[in-house]
Amino acid sequence: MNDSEGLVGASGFDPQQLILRAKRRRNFSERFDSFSDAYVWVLAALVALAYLFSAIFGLIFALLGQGVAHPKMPTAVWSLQELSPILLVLAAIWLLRLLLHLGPVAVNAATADWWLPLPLSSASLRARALRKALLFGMLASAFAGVLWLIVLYGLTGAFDPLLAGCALACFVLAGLLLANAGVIVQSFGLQSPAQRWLGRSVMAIIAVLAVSWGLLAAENQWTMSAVQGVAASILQLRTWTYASAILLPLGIIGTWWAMQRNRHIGSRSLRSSGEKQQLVLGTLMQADGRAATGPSAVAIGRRRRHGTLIAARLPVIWRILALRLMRAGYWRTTAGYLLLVMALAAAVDQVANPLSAVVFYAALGVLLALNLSGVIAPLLTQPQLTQHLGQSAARLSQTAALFAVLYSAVALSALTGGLGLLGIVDLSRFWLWCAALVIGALGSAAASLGHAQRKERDWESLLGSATSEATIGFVLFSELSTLVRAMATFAPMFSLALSPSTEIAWPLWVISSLFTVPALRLLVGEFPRRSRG
Amino acid sequence: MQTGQSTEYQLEAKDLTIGYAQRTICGPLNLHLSAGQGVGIIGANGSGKSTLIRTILGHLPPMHGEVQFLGLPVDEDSKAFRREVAVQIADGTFFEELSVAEHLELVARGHGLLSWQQKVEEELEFFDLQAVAGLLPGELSSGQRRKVLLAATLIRPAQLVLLDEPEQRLDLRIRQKLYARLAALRQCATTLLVVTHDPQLLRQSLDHALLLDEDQGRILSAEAGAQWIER
Repeated sequence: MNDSEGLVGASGFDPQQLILRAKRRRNFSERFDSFSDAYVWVLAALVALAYLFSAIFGLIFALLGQGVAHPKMPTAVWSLQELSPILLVLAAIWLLRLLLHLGPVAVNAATADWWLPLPLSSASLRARALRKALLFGMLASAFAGVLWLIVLYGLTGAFDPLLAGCALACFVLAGLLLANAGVIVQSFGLQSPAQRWLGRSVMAIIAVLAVSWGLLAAENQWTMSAVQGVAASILQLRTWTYASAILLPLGIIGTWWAMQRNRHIGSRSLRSSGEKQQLVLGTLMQADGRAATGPSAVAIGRRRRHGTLIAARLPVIWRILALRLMRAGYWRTTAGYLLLVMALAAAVDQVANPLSAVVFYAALGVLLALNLSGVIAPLLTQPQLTQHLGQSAARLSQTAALFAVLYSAVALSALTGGLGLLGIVDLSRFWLWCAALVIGALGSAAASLGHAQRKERDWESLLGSATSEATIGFVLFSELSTLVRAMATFAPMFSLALSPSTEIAWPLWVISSLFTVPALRLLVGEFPRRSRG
Repeated sequence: MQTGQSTEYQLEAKDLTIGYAQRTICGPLNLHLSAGQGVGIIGANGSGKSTLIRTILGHLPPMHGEVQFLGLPVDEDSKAFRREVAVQIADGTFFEELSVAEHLELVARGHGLLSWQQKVEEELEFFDLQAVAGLLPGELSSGQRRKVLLAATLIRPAQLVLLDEPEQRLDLRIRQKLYARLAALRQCATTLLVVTHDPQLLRQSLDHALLLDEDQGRILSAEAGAQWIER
């Protein structure tokens, strides 16, 4: 059967036609369903955008501490509006890093296994992959731009449709340009050096910010006028018109160059980029964004040696947790967040206020729930570990809960200590703060335990055949209720931050303590059948 | 197919070291395969068998050394290489919307077979897949999916065929048919490189074994390789 007879030039055959024909044939009866699905998703996107709009407005309201007395920090030299252009630069760098991480030109696994090995021209395959990459760049940039415009609108309180439209066009063009850059870098196989340079550029931006902070603190006139000039220019139509006029020809040239370079992207790169995209999608579906941008093999090796030394003397379950925390870099998220919060509060005018403190606590609660769950998930969801480690399931859960409580307590204490040092919260009622922190840590741990179990169970069912609007809604509702309960345990902290001298009513203590029960049950060794956190 | 400098070997690996990122798995290896030869790659789990196949295919860059096919460095992007090298990797993925027969049609037509309908029918019959020809991949058992992958590898002409544990999840009858077919392929000057844990495959279809052991590669006779597996 494996002969060379009966061969003909395959130039007339296009696999895409075969795939499209099969798709059309099998999906014909579902077209109307698809239409209604699309309608539902568009509606959902609009509702989500409305919620996002409200959330950003609420955040800005809190960060500016409107209507709340707050200390004047001598170190606070910037206004939020002056800092907003930096967000644009950081968003552009982040988007380019994401594009480079994802390829950006890629083929999915089935295409890599079945189509790519065929001795046919891959021009149509590559053209489709390029179109997808460019579209992704433009959409992602436009989305980031819309968020930024909402921030700007929240800060200035004025909305100019013409300016917003022009700015949005700029964001789309910038996304196109970034995607083109990603394709060109990929075609030269230079993703790793490019990522290193982009990482350095973020450090450079931080250095520039630090220097300019010093100059502003010293009231350097030139720096002050430059910062104010940049902040004012983003509200001028002329700025965005000029930017569009520059970005448009660059986008056209970039697209032409990317199309030329696209044919030089090797099959290996297309395939491995497809694998990365699949991994990112999978981890995002499990609400674990950290794994999407995994560390390099070199970094893992470095941490492996480091982590082994530190964890060598711990009992085996604690060693697992400590190594996961260190090697997978989970601790970095918490540490990075705390640093960012402190920097914002210290350096930006009006941010050092009690309302901001509440927002910082709430955000830390959400972050801990998502982040810690990644560390403790194996102990709660992999029954085979009980055999491998010779420990009962209750013991594993107990250790996971204790770890989550301790880690949450450390993170919340660090935030409280930092805010106390800056004078944003009053720590004079020390023992009340201790009690509030313990309850908050237990609540945060309960939320992370619940999310860890859902991550393996409910989110996985979303990826499987059980996916439906009802399933998605149920899982999202469960996640939301977990976070709301965690926030309820933060109520004493909120109260102490907002009104340090007022007595906290005892029902508040009781209610917030009630929501710590899931974590307490695990801590005392009672293994729940279906802990929801 | 255009070849490089005149060479007596179809596939050559010279001082080849394989691995991922900075982790060496095995090497240096030297391998010289002439047309019609059949070599089984054997070794313990994690010894680098599948990594070697992926490196030979160009899916992974070699850490050191070089792989040549018909005197030219392996280049996955070369149409000629793709035309002459057929591969079945352990667990392939499928197009969700293509049936079993359509997957085979894709490969057969992609390789320019004139009588592709007949070839598809022959492969479906050979692997006992007629009853599921119209089914989608999601409706197949893991054994049936494995058969589809093998059928897609063997439906098209090739000078070099690379298989990764083809015996996995196949029933005994299909295995025997497959082994006989692989032996027949060699008679037609097709070269085989097969990762396997089955001594019968080595004895019936191949003439040598490459044992990956202690980070090194050793060439054994097929019988010696089969005995190593049985031990």
